[in-house]
Amino acid sequence: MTDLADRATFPNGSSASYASYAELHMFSAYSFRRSGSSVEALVARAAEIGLPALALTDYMTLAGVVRFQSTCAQYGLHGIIGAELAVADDPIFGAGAAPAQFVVLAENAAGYARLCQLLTDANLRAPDRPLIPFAALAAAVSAGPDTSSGSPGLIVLTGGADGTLSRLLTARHRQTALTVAQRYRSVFGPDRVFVELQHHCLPDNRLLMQELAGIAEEAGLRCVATNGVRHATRDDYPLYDLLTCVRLGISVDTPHRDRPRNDEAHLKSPQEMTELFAPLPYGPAALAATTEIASRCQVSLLKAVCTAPRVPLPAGETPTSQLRRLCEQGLHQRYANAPAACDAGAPDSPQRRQLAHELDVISQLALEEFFLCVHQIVAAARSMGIRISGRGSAANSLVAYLLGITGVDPIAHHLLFERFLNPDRRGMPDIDLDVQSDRREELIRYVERTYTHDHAAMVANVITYRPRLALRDAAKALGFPLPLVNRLTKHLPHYCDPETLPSTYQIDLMRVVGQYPSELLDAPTRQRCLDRLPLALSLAARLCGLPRHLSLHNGGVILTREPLFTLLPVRLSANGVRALEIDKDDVERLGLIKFDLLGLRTLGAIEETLYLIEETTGARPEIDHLPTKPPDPATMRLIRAGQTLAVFQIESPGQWHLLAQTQPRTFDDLVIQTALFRPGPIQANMVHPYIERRLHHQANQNHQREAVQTPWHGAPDDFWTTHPVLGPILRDSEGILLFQEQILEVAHQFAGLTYAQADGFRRAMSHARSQREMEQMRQQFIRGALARGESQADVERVFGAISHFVGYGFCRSHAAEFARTIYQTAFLKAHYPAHYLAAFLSSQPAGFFPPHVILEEARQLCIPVLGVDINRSEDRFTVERVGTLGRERWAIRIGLRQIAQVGDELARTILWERRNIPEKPESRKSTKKPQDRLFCSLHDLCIRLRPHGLTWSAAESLVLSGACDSLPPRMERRQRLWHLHELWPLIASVSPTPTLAVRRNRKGAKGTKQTLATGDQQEDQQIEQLSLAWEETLPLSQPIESASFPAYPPLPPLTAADKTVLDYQLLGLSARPHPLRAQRRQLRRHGIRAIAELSDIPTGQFTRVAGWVVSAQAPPTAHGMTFLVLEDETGHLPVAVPPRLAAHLHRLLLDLHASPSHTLVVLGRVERIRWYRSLLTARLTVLQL
Amino acid sequence: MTRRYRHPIRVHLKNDQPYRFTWRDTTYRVRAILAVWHLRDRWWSSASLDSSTSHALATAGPAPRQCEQQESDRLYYRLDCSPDLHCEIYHDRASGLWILDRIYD
Repeated sequence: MTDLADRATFPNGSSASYASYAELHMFSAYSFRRSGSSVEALVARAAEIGLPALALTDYMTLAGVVRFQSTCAQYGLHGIIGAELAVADDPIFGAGAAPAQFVVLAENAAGYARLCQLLTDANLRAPDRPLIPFAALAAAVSAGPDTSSGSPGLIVLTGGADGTLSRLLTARHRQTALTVAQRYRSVFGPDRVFVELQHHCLPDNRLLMQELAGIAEEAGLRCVATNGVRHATRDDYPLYDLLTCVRLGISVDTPHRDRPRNDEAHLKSPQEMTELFAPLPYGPAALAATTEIASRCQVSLLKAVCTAPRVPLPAGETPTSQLRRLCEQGLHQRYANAPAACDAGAPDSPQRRQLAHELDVISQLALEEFFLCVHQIVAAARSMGIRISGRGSAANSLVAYLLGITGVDPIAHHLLFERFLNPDRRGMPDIDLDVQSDRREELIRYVERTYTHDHAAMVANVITYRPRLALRDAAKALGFPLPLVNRLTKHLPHYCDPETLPSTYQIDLMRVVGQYPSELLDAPTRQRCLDRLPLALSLAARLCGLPRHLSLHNGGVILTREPLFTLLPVRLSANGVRALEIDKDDVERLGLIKFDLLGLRTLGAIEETLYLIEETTGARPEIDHLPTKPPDPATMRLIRAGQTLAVFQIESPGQWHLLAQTQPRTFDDLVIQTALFRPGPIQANMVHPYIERRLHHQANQNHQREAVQTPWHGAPDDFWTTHPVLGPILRDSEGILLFQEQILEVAHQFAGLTYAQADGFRRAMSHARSQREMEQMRQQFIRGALARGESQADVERVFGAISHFVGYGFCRSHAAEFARTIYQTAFLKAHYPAHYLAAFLSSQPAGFFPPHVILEEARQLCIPVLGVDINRSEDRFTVERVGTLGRERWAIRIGLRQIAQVGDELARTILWERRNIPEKPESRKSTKKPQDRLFCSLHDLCIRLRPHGLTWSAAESLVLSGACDSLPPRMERRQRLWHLHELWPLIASVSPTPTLAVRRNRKGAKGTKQTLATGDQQEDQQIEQLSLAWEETLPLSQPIESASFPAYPPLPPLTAADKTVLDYQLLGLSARPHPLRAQRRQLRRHGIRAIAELSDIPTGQFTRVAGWVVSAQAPPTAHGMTFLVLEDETGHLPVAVPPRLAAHLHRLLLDLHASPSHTLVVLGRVERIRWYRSLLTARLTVLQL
Repeated sequence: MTRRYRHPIRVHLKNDQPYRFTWRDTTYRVRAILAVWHLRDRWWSSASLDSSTSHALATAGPAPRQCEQQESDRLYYRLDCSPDLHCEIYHDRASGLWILDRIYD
């Protein structure tokens, strides 16, 4: 052991010549509301005050360590890793006492792995309140030494005020404290445990330290000085105290023992610590121990090289040979129609040339196993019937295409591999996989099973404070009443600049406080809130960006070669998923491999459509092999006609507007359509130039101008399309820089950079850059372009355009993958509209519009809609053949799951009971169709379903929604409801809600055959008994079917309007015609037209339209404009509302929400582009009909 | 037993620490500093807006002004002084005042 008290040396080469000090006990904001400073602020402060080393010891977590070590590396500091552990079952205080706190520092990799394991075990054992048993800590610290370093790897500090020794001494149990210290010595070893001394300038601090030092000496232990840091500077103290109050759920006016009493827990310099400790007899040694411990702790998490998980390979294959073999297979499958590509003896075919190049780069980067791993997951998903699709830059890769990871041919669509991968790339390439949402969990389980829990986990998401949440926490802690806090936070936007938070919103929010109803806020409280509001805003601004808690990433899965517990602790999420404690940025810093398995409901809708088609027609369209050159004419007609409601990505009114102008004809047009309608191009004013050039181009091609009323401002600038180098690169986007791949090509072909340099150039341009870096890049670009003979003016112009491009660049391959899904969904809607819309409705919530809008679209496509029926509906939306012979067509049947109070489980139970089929939905694909056991009456339904969880509210919903209308005997809904009221108490008295055992028994029915038989027999017996019991309660002992009830009172039948209201209340949609249809005559009397009638009105004319508001949006890029979509029985109409009417609209929308029978009436000016109609609002009113 | 006074006093410092002070016309010399501690409280009171401003913005009628206690950031010393006096004094960092807080019997 080296004594470094006088002169400490550290791995980074720094040294200290005075009484050196390293901080070994420090919380960051990753301790979640236990610290007032970020990791970055703490490390920056440490560097500023001259600390050579410091440890991050967050409370029961290592979530910040990767960021910490990375930041330390930037500042040249030695970053030590540790954690403060809450230790339970203390031998002194017992199991019931508050946990004692120890600081544990990792000396080497083995110690770090043990620390991770301790935390993982605690997290998995009690996710809500993880604690570490003392025995487990003792075992980890005293475990055998690491073979490489010869040290067990963990150092224990006895903790600050919450350590056992301090607590005992504060309670004046000196002798017990001595016993404990001796026990620590024997359990951990004298050189592995240090008695921690903290001087926070509190009363009796010195006395306590003196006692601790005395005990340490008697027990043969050494002392170490720490400052138990909670914030970087004194200025951060209010934030720390505030967060402590947030954590404790108290206001700042409430005293609490866990709150800090002063600001002394800030990061102190070696001089400050020397001043505090040097005068004490034990002080110099305690200070010296800090640097000695610091020099012993040598753990580095940051890796330069990424490691992919090990993939099982066939015997005799290496990763390289296996990848090559799979690619060869892929060539034969994907390019069966291109003999040159399949011919191994023709290396000059574009496919083989590209494949050889990609395999070479993959080999250089040793990424073979990475690709094999992704391939394995994708192949497994497909074999399980789960729809999956790669997205993002991976679609630039031919290898990814050949392995089936992506579905767009990169050769045919001129995608650039270097955007995805090049030899200079650092870190793992990014592959995102879209998975059908409803089966994503299955795939995650598969990955966990295949790679085991030791190597697979999900990524966490660090939730940081944003303005609303920050103001909420700050205001609550400052004692604002909760209803007022709610009102204040609603006045803040979700995203705003924290710096300007106080200055921008203070006056508005003060007005909110001032106008808060006096009956809800007494005068003194109002005054206090007004006084404290500026402080709340300023604290909220400072809170923004600090980590608040961890959540689960929405799709990131990590696969590791080494066991996970050697890397980081694992946590259990609320839904039982294992997740690492770090976010995706830290994953990259650690050199780990991550996939995003992102749930996409549209893929579920596609898969369900295919299932419905196969089920009803016996054929299954080859949706993954649709022709793109040329594309399907019906599909493209549908897109050009703007009938894109429920089509992926192009169903919004903004897209309708764009489609009317761009009129896509090819698949590549769809790729551009996807990339063009983004905030970037819209903000950069790129959309109109593109449209103008495209129309000009089309007009020249067709020798005639199309009758489109788009602004035209003379001849377009043809520099970009006629330049010999830029022209071919930008031709398909009409001379507009739209894709990131185009930047690479420009940098490569125009400025002579290699593709690897060009990608570095693109990345640098896309991130925050300093002026100096920009100038360096500019010089490099200009030098290269001038050397290739370009003129200075042209070079400057191109560089300027690229600089501007940074805000709106989109990856072409990503757009291509989206375009593929657009094309597929449009194809299904064009050819199988009923099937597709039924599947899309089952996949809700998905897309832009609510379900009733989709159903209205079905009606407008002349697809009959059938109501929900207890004996005919499935749990989801289905299709049925209706109509007379020769005039048959497909209709959509509403599913049982749609009924309020019924839900998924009861809907499946109804099916199970009706058909006696297994309960799980995936089992429905079984080919053998069992005999249906239809419900024959309401009491039959109640008797059979009551034991399986039919509640009163669900039964009432079934009756009111019309699901029971077809049950014999025929009767009006009101009468049936009366019947139910009479029936229910009798059934309820004999049919208890199923016990857990019954449910388990039923769920276990799909186990062994014997279990199934036993379960069924038991249930049959139970139902029989219940039926008998029910019959006995009747006045006459007669069979249930012939039981006579008292005559019903004369109840008036429900009107059609009543039934429609019930439909919307209980189903959220209706099989009946649109309610405005019945009111059309009345609307005409008010001079209000139907939406379909707008096709006869010329542009610029004012007209009045009424409808339901089915969508309202105020995008930040629209400069205060609000965009509505109105719906009536004839169609949908986009409506633009100017900013001056925004407040009025807001009030009207609140009225409409409160009274659904009200309809919005818009007086506005008609705008037309081909089939597209919209209104620019001049006046808004609400009409009550 | 102690008795609280909270009287302002004038303190002479040596090496940034109390050396002697005068209270009730008697000068006391510090024999020993027995303890030092630091308390910071009510930090949320110092940033409060002036009541006239906030009232102007409030439209819910006049409200009685309830004064919040001011922020305190105090460095306490427990001293053994000559002539015989065992006391606690503190330095209020916000106001710069020295206060004789309490005297031990």
